[in-house]
Amino acid sequence: MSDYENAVEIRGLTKHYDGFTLDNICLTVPKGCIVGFIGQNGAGKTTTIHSMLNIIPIDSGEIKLLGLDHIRDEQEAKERMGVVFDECPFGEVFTPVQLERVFRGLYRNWQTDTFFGYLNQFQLPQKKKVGELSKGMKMKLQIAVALSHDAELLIMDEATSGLDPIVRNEILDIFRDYMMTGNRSILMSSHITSDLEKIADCVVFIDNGKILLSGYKDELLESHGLIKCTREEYREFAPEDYISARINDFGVQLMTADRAAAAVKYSGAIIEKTTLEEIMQFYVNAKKKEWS
Amino acid sequence: MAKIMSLIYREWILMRKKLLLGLAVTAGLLLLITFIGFSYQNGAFDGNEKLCNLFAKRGGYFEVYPVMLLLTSVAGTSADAYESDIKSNWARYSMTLPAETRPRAIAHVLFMLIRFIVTFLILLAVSVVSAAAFGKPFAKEMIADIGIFSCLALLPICLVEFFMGKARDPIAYKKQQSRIPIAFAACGTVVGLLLARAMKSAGTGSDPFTVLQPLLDKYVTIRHTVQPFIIPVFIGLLVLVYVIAKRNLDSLKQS
Repeated sequence: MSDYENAVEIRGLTKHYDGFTLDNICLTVPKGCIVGFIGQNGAGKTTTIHSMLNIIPIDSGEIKLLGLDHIRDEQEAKERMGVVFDECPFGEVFTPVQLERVFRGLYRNWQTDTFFGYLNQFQLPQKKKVGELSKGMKMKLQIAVALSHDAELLIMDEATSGLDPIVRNEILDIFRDYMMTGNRSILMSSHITSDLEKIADCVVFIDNGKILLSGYKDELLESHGLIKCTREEYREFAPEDYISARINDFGVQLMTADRAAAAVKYSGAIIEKTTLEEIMQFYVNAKKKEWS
Repeated sequence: MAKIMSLIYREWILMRKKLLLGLAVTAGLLLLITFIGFSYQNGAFDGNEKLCNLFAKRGGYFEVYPVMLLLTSVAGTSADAYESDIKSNWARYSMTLPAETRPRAIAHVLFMLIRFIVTFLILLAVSVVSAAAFGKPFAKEMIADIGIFSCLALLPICLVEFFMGKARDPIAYKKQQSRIPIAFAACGTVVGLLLARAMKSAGTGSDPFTVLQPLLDKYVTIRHTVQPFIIPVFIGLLVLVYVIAKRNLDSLKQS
């Protein structure tokens, strides 16, 4: 059942649309890891996820989910994974109890006790209609469904967007609990990088249909650094030593991908730790090199 | 099978409000027909010769038609389910579930068949009660009438399936929804013209009962002709609904 190394393995995924191309995407979610899929709105996160789930046909590339081909073994793969979208897909007339009856027949490994356990844990009313639930409650209900059939892989597309910080933190705790049982993996797409900073093991940056950067979160945060300098000092930096430069009235900020090397080469410079959000911003503007 | 049953249950939850409403209205109409029937038997319409003649000839039989029309059309509607699914973006989510388009389309058609069987049985009960209220024996032709009405009700359902099932988002849904009244209006115009032609050739006056009589007579002839084809046509229409539903589900991936 779990003889795979990577829960998700995407190689050379390409999908053309008018005005947008998902270009040769390679993405891996190692078994037992939470991978944050970061990018601006319209960067290609949802298209990648829809391609993985065979919601949209791909032009070329290979996608494996839990070691299974995403088209040939589609049904088997979908039995073993859960998906959470940004909006609640259950009709407003359903109650959680009725939804349980629906999903009980759809999933081979559906666990009724687990589902009701999650409803209690998330304090979701069993007989209240979906239309009467708050956005946070609807999201928790979606998560309860996704986690109640022993899914080995959880795919979330902007699941925490539009939720207040308290609910977002509660949801992140749910994912931490889910990961306590071994061999489980999560791919979490979001543009809220602070959430991923708290929970992700690995991070993949996508922009304009291309993967800009990927790696272990701690390594990325450790290797990258934010150099703060004056405009005069900025002239001394070689362009190949920084990703891009943010220039404003107070001075210049440069993002370096090799903090240790930069510290040696520019010994007088102030190099600070950075965040995923800043890394994303500087990479997105890498082509322009200078931005404000 | 478990998947199909689950999906049928899902459709029931989505549509049950309207289906139960249809049943409630039918029960009300049945009460009204029964009341008219007993009133007629007790001589309440003795002053109206034409009405008495009509009841004498077709009592407990002719009056059931509006109930048929109402119940079959309500039983058939899937528009509510489509609207709910589009609003909640169910189509996208359903593609993440371990259920292929085939069981989903089968569940859709099976639920439709269940609705029609239940409707058929209710209509049968309605016609028996109605006939008894007018002091008439149950006419076997009623079964053929119910079958014909069921086929007629399936035609607009095919239209709904064809147009609504193609919609992917609320904007496309509204666009498709706006096409349905146009399609119905076109069908209504054709039926109206045919009726007008039939009335003209019958050479009747403006009295509704006199106008209806030759049409009903003509219908009896048509019924006799189409009777052997009712079940094959009904099955054919169900297959058509299945093909349209499956094609619409398959095409969700093409966007």
